[in-house]
Amino acid sequence: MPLRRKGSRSLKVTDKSVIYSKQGSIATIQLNRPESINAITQSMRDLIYDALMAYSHDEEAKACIIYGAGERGFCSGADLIEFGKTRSQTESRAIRKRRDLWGLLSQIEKPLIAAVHGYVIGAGLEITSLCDIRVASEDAVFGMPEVAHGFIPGAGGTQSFPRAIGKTHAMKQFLSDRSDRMTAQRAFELGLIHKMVSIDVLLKTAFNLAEEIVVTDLEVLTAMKTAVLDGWYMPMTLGLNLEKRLIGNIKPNN
Amino acid sequence: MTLEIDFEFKNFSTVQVSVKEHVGLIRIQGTDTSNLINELMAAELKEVIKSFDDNPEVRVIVLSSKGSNFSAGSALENPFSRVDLDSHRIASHVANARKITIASLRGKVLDQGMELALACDIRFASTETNFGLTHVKSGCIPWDGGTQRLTRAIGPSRALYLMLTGAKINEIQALEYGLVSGTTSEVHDEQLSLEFGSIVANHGPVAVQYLKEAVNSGSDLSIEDGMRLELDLATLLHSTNDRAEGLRAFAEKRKPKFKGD
Repeated sequence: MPLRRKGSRSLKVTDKSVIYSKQGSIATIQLNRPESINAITQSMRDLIYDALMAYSHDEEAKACIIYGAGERGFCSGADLIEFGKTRSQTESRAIRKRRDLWGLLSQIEKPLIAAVHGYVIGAGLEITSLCDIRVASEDAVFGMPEVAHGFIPGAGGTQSFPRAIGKTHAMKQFLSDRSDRMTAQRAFELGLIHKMVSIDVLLKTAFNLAEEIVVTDLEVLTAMKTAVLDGWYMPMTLGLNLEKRLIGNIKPNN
Repeated sequence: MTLEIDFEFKNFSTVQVSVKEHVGLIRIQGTDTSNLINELMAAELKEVIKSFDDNPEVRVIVLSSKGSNFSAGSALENPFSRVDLDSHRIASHVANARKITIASLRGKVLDQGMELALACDIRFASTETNFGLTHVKSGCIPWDGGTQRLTRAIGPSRALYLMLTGAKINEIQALEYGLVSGTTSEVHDEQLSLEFGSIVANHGPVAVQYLKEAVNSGSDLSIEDGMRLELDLATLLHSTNDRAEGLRAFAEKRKPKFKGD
């Protein structure tokens, strides 16, 4: 179940590289470092973590849209300049375990909507793959360039991306180079993207989807996510039991 | 594409082997045009795959064929007649390679030929390629991993349809099903595979192997456990020279030169 606490947590930060806000029951997380195509820094990771916790704790919020500021793209990946300055293996693993943003993103029980445009690269594509509903503008291009830099995706991409489009296509994309990025059209055909729209209406489309979602009770939405995502790894009989148990917990809505 | 051979392997009779610029190429060559897989070919393939996997000069393996068919299946006429099917099985040896394997497919890709292709990480096909697991027509089920690998590759619904009817599909449908990663009409399938192979060979070799492990082992795990595996592998990579070189090259805006350490 989502962590529940009375009232929402306000974020008192001066760092504006991630902006969390809320309109009614729809929360938004904006990646806001357009000068670097929203490349994810360590402080952005912390801010996204806080924003997701705020969303999770807020009883009113039922859907969250993640999108990127600026014209060039949703997110160009992890900030590799900062990457080069990481400390020892043990220390960076400890930091990751302490505030496991990617784990939180994959386990949050409320709906997540990604609205992406332009460059959706590396960690940008990994965030997108961990969202439940994915909308893209026609200009979006998707790529996973990690192995070309000598490492592997580290924000869950090796797990979430093959689950989103199938192993055959995911493997090819992981191993491609920058000349072979995936277009929005291809991403739509492969099921990575559920709706492809013109850039002018990208956010509006995401909000429309969110509005369709938030009319439903939160407990129904979380039960649905739990049934599908947890049930997927279970043998069928256990999955059906899980579904029964979840239905039994939902109070009838009059 | 002409092949300069960096070093010669011993002469096998059912496989032709060469290495160029870190791309290991294996062409299977049966006794007839159907390229049927026999016990000797299975044994030689095992040996070549192992030697490529152990050889740091080889960073990626392309599995192709001589002639117009990849392979129409096994030379074994009746799988029930033999007790030791294991000496004919090859798919798991290919699937267990640590290095990336690319199947270059044309013509008939049937039965054990299809099971062999399914054991590879990437599959490319040229026009007029036919895929199928037709064992049901001889009263049998696939015996070199087909029931498991086809189902995982394209989902149980399409997999059961193909295996219960013994239907064959062409490369267009195979692409739609997610059975192949790409098709080609203009260039020969082997050229496409070699070109993709050389892209893979330019990546960080350790990272590529860890990627394969994270994706393949992770697909049998819950997402939590899969992400834990990914994190451990990603953290291990912190200590490699390749990662340091990758970050240095990025900062200096040049192509990295990986050594695989």
